[in-house]
Amino acid sequence: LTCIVSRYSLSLVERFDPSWYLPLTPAMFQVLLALADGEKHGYAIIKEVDRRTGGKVRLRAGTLYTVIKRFVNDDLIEESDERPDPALDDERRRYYRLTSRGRQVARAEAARLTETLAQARAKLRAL
Amino acid sequence: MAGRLVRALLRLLPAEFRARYAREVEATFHAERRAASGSRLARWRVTAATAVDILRVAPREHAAILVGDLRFAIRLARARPSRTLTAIATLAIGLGASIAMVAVIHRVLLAPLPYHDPAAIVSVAQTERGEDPSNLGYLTIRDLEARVRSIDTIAAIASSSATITGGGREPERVRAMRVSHRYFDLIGIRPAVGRGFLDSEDRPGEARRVTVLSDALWQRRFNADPAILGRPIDIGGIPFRVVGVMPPLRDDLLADRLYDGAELWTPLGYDPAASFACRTCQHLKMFGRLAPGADSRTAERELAQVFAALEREYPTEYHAAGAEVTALPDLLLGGVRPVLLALAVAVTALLVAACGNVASLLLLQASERGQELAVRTALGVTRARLVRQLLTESAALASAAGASGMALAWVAVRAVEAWGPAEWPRLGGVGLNGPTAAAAVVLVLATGLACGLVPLRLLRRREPGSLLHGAGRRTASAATWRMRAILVGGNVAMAALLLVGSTLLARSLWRLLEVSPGFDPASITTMEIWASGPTFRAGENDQQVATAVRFYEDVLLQAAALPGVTSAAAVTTLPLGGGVDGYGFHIEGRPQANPEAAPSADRFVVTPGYFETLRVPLLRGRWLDGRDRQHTEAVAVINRTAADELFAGIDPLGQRVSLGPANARPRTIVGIVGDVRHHGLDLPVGFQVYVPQAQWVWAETTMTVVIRSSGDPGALVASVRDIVRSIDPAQPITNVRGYDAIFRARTGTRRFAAALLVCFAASALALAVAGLYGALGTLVGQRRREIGVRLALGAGASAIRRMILGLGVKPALAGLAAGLTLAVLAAGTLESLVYGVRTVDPATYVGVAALVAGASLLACLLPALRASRITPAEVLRSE
Repeated sequence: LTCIVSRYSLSLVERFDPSWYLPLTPAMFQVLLALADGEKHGYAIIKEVDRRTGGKVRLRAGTLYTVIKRFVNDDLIEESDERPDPALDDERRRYYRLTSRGRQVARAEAARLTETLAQARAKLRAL
Repeated sequence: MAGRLVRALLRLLPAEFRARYAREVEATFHAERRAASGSRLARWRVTAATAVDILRVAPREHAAILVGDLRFAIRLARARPSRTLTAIATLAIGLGASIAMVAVIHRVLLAPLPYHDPAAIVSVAQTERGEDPSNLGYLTIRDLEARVRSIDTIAAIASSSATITGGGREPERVRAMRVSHRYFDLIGIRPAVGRGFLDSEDRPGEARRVTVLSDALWQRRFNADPAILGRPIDIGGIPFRVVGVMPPLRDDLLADRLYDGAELWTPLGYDPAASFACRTCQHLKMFGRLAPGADSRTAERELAQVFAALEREYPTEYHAAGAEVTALPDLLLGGVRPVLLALAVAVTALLVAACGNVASLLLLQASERGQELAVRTALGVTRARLVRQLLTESAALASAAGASGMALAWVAVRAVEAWGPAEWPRLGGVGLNGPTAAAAVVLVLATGLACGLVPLRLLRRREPGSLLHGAGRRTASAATWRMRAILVGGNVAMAALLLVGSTLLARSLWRLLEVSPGFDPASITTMEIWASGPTFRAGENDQQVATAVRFYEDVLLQAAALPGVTSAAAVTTLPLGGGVDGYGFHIEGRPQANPEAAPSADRFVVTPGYFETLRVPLLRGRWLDGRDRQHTEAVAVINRTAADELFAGIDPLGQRVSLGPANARPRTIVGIVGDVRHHGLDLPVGFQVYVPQAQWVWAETTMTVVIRSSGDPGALVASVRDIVRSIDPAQPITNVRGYDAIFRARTGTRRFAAALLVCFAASALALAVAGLYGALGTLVGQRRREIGVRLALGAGASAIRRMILGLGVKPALAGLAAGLTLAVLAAGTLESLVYGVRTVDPATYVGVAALVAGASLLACLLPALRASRITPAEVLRSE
């Protein structure tokens, strides 16, 4: 627990270093990716992740909002003020978008995964 | 339905999370369900998955908050290390004492007895004329067994001892129990190897020469030899066939406490016609099992009817007889229960005092953090969240204290095990086990809650706006002071309560140690030398008496000649050694219509020189000496109480008395000696009669030798052992004790309770004084400005002193009054421990009041002096 907290709640440190957040859990990474192409509400994030992963990653509401809460606290995402037409929208929904910090963290995680993948491929090729 | 389920589950998440995200989670859940509207199964799958997800997420969220709060608590604690350590140490002492007490109570009072359904086993004692209950005669027990329906599986038990010889080893004397054949059915424990006793073995004759061994004796004396079954072992020179070996028994308190750790059982096997089987030969204990549906009261009622019938049939054997039925656990543990209760009250008072002090510190801390809490409230942190954080902080503090308290309790428990009173049963196995640890966790959480709740009241009084602007500091400090004053008053109350208790116990102990036992116990060494074996059974009764007398005479003569020995003698039961024999005391010329109505006197069989050795004062007449032989005139010596009360107005010297049956051989009273406290230093002295060993009805072969010497007791015992071995190598020496050990054992519970209470009271008083000093000191600091203004406006230093003293003394006096009232109410718990003082002893209460008031005044004096030294200029500069 201490480990989780120290890893994800260091928002008050002056110089931001995205590597503090790494590695992200799959759910966290998927939430950041889902918001990379624009703001979304919670259900839209779930749908986007489901579509993109072909149903392999299924986020549930409880997990999603604990991730959202943490990201909002740590300024990786923020709530958007812009709302669509009320006639088309559920007023209970809030919309979220990536901050520049969130973008940095997502990039850093992607780079980390790329490197891990390259290492894995090199090893497995040798077999 | 699905929506309600998810909404209900959302309540498991932290309030903050719920406030912000619950509606969104619900909206998302409903959207998912709508999307899955194709099939009912798909919808239920969404519901189930969401429910599981919430159940999985909720504990993680709570844990994250807890970790955050704990980190904050640790930072806070590290910022004020001395205050934190003081709080932890204070609570640790209270918790340590409480946990140790729980461990002792759990082991001594609550641990189960090894018998089958022990609560149904009862002891039956006979009462006559409403006097203290006593043992029963054999024929009485036989009649009760035949007639009483509410008690079955009845067993009669006689105390016994056995000298085991043979096997090429030193003779060993062990405590034993002679039991009727249903004893093992009664306790519900069968021998692990072999069997118990048969009805046919519980009869006089050769058949009764069988024995059951304890596991410990079997291991120690017979090297756990599995072939022992059926083999004879030599007990007092007679072969007894081993028919069983008991399983190893933990807490066999019936054998351990009532029969001094008996390790061997033989059948009672009484002949109903034997002289010692008579109805007035009351030396047997009777136990039985309550029949289904019966309880102690119904059994007592039935026994009363049966005794009434017996009295009609045998009018000279009973006199206003009845019975007292006591459940076995009460019989074995009832004595120690009130003492432990009193100590539990004391420990609780100490824990309350510790909690009060720590709550006061936490209150101070909360008041100092007023600004911080107000800022957080203004930033939208809910009150519930602040409450949770403050409670987490106090729980963390209590947990740290609990861990230290557990360590202290371990030390305390070891100390109790080593130095606890010997008369407390089962102290040997006391330890910190599962139930104790569970109780400790509950105690720690309750303590954390109790300490944490007090500062919360302060939180409720706060209006964040006023605090943010720095206003309300004055009212906040006043509110803090009021609450701290209440806590200080509580602490003083606990200190007063404990001081009253400890003073009463200390005074009782003092009184008890001042009581003269009626003899000079210094430089006395005692040892049991029991004569057994064929030599002592040879011939008729007269010859047996002569043999026993000669044996002790030989031993005592040679012992008296040892270097450093002033004198030596022997007696059947040692003063304060426990167990005396009561005999009917029939004065010649004063016949009773019913001999059972005659007074009863404690009878002691002594050898010449007994009174001189123990230095029992001779008041009139002469001591018993070498002139009193087997066939000279039968004589007796009585004590002062018997002389004063049984012979009022006449000279007892020259009067003749019969002991036991009214027609027994009359004895002439030749001397009156001082009263000796046989039963206990705190118990009244009854009638006592001493007779020479040579003139007793049968051969007394179970004597305790007392030796007055100036030398080393260890060397003395070794020399006496050599003497006994040279006379008869089959006779062992046991139970070697000095009187200091006997006195220690007799006063053990009181010493222990008094020592503990004095420690608790001193700690509570220190806590109260420190609490008062701390709270008043803070108040003076907070009100410097006001005091400066008062001084500037012309108030004198003495007026300021009086004002601060008044503020401090008020809660102290209120606490003192409350404490003394509590002490009066709780005095009953000390009833069994006090001696020579009343539980509501005015002198004690006045003394405690003076001590507490004086200490409180001293605690207030320093802050008051500091306040009076404040100068207006100083205050202005600092403002």
